[in-house]
Parts: sequence; structure tokens; C-alpha cells
Amino acid sequence: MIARGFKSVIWVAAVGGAALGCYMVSLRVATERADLARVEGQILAAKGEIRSLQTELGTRGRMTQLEDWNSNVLALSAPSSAQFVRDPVALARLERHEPTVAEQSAEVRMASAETGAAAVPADPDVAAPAAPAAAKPAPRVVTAVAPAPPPPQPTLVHQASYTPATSAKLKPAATAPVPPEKKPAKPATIAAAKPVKTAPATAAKPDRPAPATAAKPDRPAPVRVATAAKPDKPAPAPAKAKPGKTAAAAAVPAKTSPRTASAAAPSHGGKGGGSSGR
Amino acid sequence: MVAIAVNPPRLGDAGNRQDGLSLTYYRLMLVMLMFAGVTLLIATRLLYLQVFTDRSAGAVLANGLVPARADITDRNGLPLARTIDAWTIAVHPNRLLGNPDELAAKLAQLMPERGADQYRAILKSGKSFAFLARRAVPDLVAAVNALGEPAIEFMREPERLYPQTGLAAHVLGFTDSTGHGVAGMERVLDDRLTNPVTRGTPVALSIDTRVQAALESELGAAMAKFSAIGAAGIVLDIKTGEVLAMTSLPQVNPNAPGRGLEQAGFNRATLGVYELGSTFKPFTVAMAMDSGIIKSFGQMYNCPRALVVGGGFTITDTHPFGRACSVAEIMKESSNIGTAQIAAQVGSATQQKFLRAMGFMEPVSIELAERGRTLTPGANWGDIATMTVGYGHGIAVTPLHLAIGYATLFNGGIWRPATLLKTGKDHPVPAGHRVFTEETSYRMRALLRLVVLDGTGKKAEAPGYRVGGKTGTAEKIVGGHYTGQAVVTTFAGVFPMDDPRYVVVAMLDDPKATADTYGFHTAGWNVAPVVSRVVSRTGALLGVSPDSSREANLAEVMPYVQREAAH
Repeated sequence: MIARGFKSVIWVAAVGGAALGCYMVSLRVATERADLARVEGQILAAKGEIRSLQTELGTRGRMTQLEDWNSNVLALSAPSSAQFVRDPVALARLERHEPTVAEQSAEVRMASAETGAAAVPADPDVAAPAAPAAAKPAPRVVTAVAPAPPPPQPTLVHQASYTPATSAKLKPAATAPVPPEKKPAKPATIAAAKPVKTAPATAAKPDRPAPATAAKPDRPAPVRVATAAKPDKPAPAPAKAKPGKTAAAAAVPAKTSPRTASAAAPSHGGKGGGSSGR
Repeated sequence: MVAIAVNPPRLGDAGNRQDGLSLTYYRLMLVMLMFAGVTLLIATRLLYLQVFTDRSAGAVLANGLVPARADITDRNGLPLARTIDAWTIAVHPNRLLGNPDELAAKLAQLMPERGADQYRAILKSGKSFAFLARRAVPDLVAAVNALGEPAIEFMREPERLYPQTGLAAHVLGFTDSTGHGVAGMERVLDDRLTNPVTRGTPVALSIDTRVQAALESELGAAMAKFSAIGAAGIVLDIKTGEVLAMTSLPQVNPNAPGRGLEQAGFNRATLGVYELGSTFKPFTVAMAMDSGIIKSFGQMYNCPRALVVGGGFTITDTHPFGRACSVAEIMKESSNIGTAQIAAQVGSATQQKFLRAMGFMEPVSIELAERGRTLTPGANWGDIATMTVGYGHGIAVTPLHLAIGYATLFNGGIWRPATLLKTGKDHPVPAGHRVFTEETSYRMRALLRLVVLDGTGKKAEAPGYRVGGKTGTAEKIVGGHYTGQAVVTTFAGVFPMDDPRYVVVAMLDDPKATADTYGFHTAGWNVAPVVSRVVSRTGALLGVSPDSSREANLAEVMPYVQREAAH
């Protein structure tokens, strides 16, 4: 009875509730939409700001301004054609790696390894590689020993008495600049062996040039002789009438003497080595 | 339930009362229905608005970033022209509250463009509105605002800004105070830039800002060094006709047009016509090769010290041979006498046919409206005119004509109009039409490379970039006569010569000799180095990698050059 009496009220409540629910959903959607619109507005504002900042940056960093900075401060210039690398090979050539002492010695080992299977035992013998050269050829492969050792031999001979191991290693690496540096120091002890380089320094040198010139024709023969040290030194001296130069340049080339010596050494080494190798 | 029955008071006639009651009910019902109807209507409308209204306001948002006028960018997307909201300061003199005298003095202090008297005149004019400053910077706006005068109004107005200032000013042009283009591409593209449908997307020009900057800087330096009164330069893509850089000096600043020199607005590259001198010689030789007159660069011509042609007209050379010389030598030393003879063999009709095909008889083919009419011998195109035109005198064209001509000569012989719009899907490369044969085009490479390697254009060499080209020094007509004092020097270069891709034309108007040039004011001394430096700076940017191991095929010319050339 009572329920029947309240039926209409319940209906109204139900309909009202449903309507309210619908309205809440709608309101929620509207709120979300408003938020979205606000975010989009912010994005838009940010874009506008980005654009104006970009414009400002572009204006401040305009090409003429950059050019001014470059001419006043940076002084950069366009790369020349030589600075362009065309292929990977050319790029690889650009690498200038200064070998460390350890790497130098490692390289030497590899070089000696190439000469033949007996290369390893050769190391300990380095002390007298040049001299043994004559002896070794016989037991070992002729071709293997000949090509590698020849060029360095002259220097080998010099340093043999001093520091056999290191000198031996350095030769094959063709580290031209290194030997010269060491040599100046060594002459003191091995004065007799290295006179050629320090020619101007000692009184004894003048004598050597003379023997050198005299020895030139003889070199091939003396090379194999036990006095390997001498033939080598004369070699640099005669290198194209250097005796004259050494005399005249006594004072001047003092500093450059190591270089001239080193420059001359390889060339003679090549000649002398070739002969001695045989 | 309790029911209470109330006997209505019986007043009057019962029948009447009954009618009146029903009428009342009826009216009540009507009013109620009206209220219900209106309520329903409002509810429906609310519901409709609630459900169907798009609150994201997408249309408004989408328009937010669309500028009033489209951006202009270079070929790499770097903005060259943009529209920004700039501050404008205005005043309502009739609503002024403060003391006009004091205010005028303060305004003159802040904005010295006008004096205190002028500001006072504005403030006392009693008008309803007057501009005080446009394009004001924010600092100025803040300072003026601090004066506290309520009659002063600050507004944001769309303003055209050119971030690169004077760069490519003659290409871009500028807009007037109403925002419409009045020069350059701003004028050409006005509809496209302001159309609401298209203004959202920027327009890409063919200009490359980096190349443009290098060209302007080098040309400007040369112009200053040689005290020239003007200069023009063009870098053109041979295969597409795209103008990568085009400049005319002195410059104009499009941000403040009208504040520069009166003549600065004059575009020398497309509007100014000049006799471009010896740079025409390669055309004459190419015409002769196409016509079968020159079969080999070893063909000999008699080159006396002076050539007297009909009517007592004398042609001379700066480096006279005084002997027979080959075509290669004529080009290498830029001999007028030799070229005149070749031109005479080509003949007037053929010459005109070729020049017309290259567009030299009409305003240059480019979008710009600033295009000059070329000057030709016209009806007097006789033998002598043919000869002088053969070496670039008696015909005046724009530097851009020359660039297009060289592009035609070295791209395989196809003429194409120049364009300032980036080529692509929207703007395809035009087909063009053939002017020279491919063989002529190929063989000319060696000839122009020779000029740079061993001739008058040595200073244009850029190591590794294989530049070829031709110098041109033309006397200017002053007071109706040619004078040796004033010249126009031009260099038309092409690189890389083993596979031509770009033309570089540089021109100096009236350069003076300096100590550096040993008193010479010829093109080889003043304008050729400009080309060399421009090519060195931009070659790699343009995709030409310098390579000293490559070279044009010079086998065709070298045998015909006499080593001990007498001069």
C-alpha cells in the first residue's frame, strides 16, 4: 500500500537519478574536452614561442654576422683540396702512429720471423748479426737472411759492441730518426766506432775522412773484414764528396751532423749491406 | 486516504459558472503547456549544445600558427623572410592627459628619429590617432610605457622580418606598409603568400644561403678593394637553371627599404644591361663549331697587330699576336682580332639565330619583374656589328643572360630559363630547347679550361675544382664614347670542367687599378680572384669534391698552343 503510494516518487527518483548520471558523464566529458583544449592551447603557444625564438636566433646568427665573427675572431678558412680524402685507403694513410719502444721491438721480432724459421734463435745472437751474417748464411736459408739484414748492417756493426739487442731490433724497422738520436750519445763510449757522425768534434776524424776517401774503392773488399766499423763510417763520409763538406762544415753542422750521418748511413748501409750480405 | 469535499460557494448562475471554470482550466492548461514547451525547448537546446558542440575549437587552433603572410625559405629550409608580431607605438592626441611639452621631450629622448618639435606637433595636433613608432623593440615599448601616458597605445602588428637582413635582398624584395610585396619575389609571389589556403606552407626558393653569403662577401670585398661603383654575382645550376645565389651590390636592407642609397634598389644582375666583352667569345666559337666553320681548335687565323675592317673601323688586341694563331690561342689570350674574323665567318643571320635561341634578344627569363631590356645592334646588324658582337661589344645583356648562356653552352647545349624557385615535384625542371650540339658543348670544356690554366683567367683557378671560364673587360660608354678609363669587368666561370655543374658569374662595375694589380683594371686581375675564392668556399658545399687527380680533357687544345706566345 505504502509502496504503491510511493511508486510515483520512486519513479521520479529513478528518472532523476538516471538523468543526473547522464549529466555527470556529459559533464566529465566536457571537462576532459576543456582540458584537452587547454593543453592544445599551450602547445600552440609553445610552438609560437619556438618560432619566435628560432627567428630571433636566426636573426642574431645571420650569415653576415657569422662572417664578421669569423673574420674578426675565428679566422677559419675553407678547406683546401688537399684536405679532402677521397677513399678509405687515402684515409688510412693519414694515420701517423708513432710506435712505442715496445711496439718497435715487437716489430723487429716479426721482421726476423719473416726471414725464416730460425729467426727466433737469431735474437739472442743479435749481438753480432753482421759478423755472423757471413757465418749464418751457410746454415740457414740464403734468400731469407740476405734481404732483411743488408740495409741495417752498417749501423749494426756500430752498435754491436754497445747495445746489441736494441740496435738489432731497430734496424729492420727503418726508424731512421731514432738511431741518430742514440748515436750522438753513444759516440762517447764507442768513439772509435762512430766517428763519422761526430766527425767535426774530434781531431781523429780528419784522419778518417782521408782513409775514407782512400777506402772508397776498397770498401767492397773491407766490408767483410772484421773491422766492419771502419768501412761503414767512411761510407757516409764519401757519400758524394762529403769529406770536403765535413771539413768545411766542422763548425756549422755540429747540430745537424747526426742527421747527415743518419741520412747517409742508410744509403751506405744499403750498399755496404748488399755487399756484406753476399 | 482522507477526502475532503468542499462545496463551492454558489455564486451566480450554475451553468455560467461551469463554463467559466472549464475555460479557466483550459487557460491554465495552455499556460502550463507553454511553460513546459519553453522549458523543453531550452533543455533540448542545452542538451544539443552539450552533446554536439566541439569544444576543442579546432578551427581556431589550426589558424593560430598560420602567419598573415607565408614564410620564404632558402632551398635548405632556412627562413629568409618571416612574418612576426611586432610592437607598434601609437598615440591618441585628442585624449592626451599629460603635458605635451614634457612628453614630447621625453619621447625625443627615447626615440631620436624625430625631434622634440615634431613630437610636440603630433601631440598638439588634436587628431584621434598617430603612429609614433613601428617595429619597436620590446625595450623601447617598456620605456615608453613607463612614461605613464594613457593616451599612448601599444599594439601588435604583423611585420615582415628578413632574418638575414641584406642577404639576397634583391631576390627577396620587400613589402610595403600594407604588407604587400613591392619588389623581388615578394612581389612575384604576393598572391601565393597571402592566399589563406596556401600561406600555411613556406615557399622554398632555389637560393642556398651559404653560397649566397660567400658570394656576397667575396664580391663585396673585391668591390671595396677596387673601389668599384657596383657589382653583381650569380651562381647557377647548369642542369636545372636554379639560381643558387644572386646578388647585386650595393645592397639594400629589406627590413628598412628606402633608407639605403637611392640606387641600391637597382638589381644589376637582372635589370642592369652591360656590354660584357670577351665573355661572349666562347659563344662565337661555339656558333662557328656548330656551323661547321671551326673543325679543330688548331684552325689558324691571321692575327695582325690591328685589324682594319670596312669603313676604317679598327679592331685591336691587348695582347697582340702579330702572327697566325690557332683558335685555342685566340681564346687563351682573348684576341678580339681573331674572334672578329670567326664572327665574320659565322655571319650576321646565324649569329642572330643563336643569340635569339639563347634568349639574348629579350628580357632575361626568370620570375622576377625587375628585368632589363637588352640592347642589340637591331637594324644595323651589318658586318661590323657582327664582328663586334662576336667579342661582346655592341650588345648589352644582363649578367644573368650571360650565366644562362654559359649554362646552355656547358650542360650539353640545352637552353633552360633560370628560376628562383626550388625545383622538385611542384616545380619540375623545364625541358628547354637545344641550341648547341652535345659535341660542341663537350669540346668547349677544354677551351675554357685552357683560359684558366694558361690564359687570361689564371687567377680564377681554385685548386682541385677544375674551374674553366672566360674573362671579359668591356669599356664603358661615357658621354657617348668608349673610354678606357671606366670598364666593366666580368668573369664567367664553370666548374668542375670535367663534368660541368655550376656557373659562376661575377661582375664589377668600374673597378679601379690598384698597386696589387700593377695598374691593370682588367677582369683577370680584379674579378677572376673573386670566382676563385667563391668556388673554393662553396664547391664542397655544392657537392663538388675537390680532386687534383681529375682534369678536363685538354688533349684537344694543348697541341695548338704555341709555348713562346709573343707578348
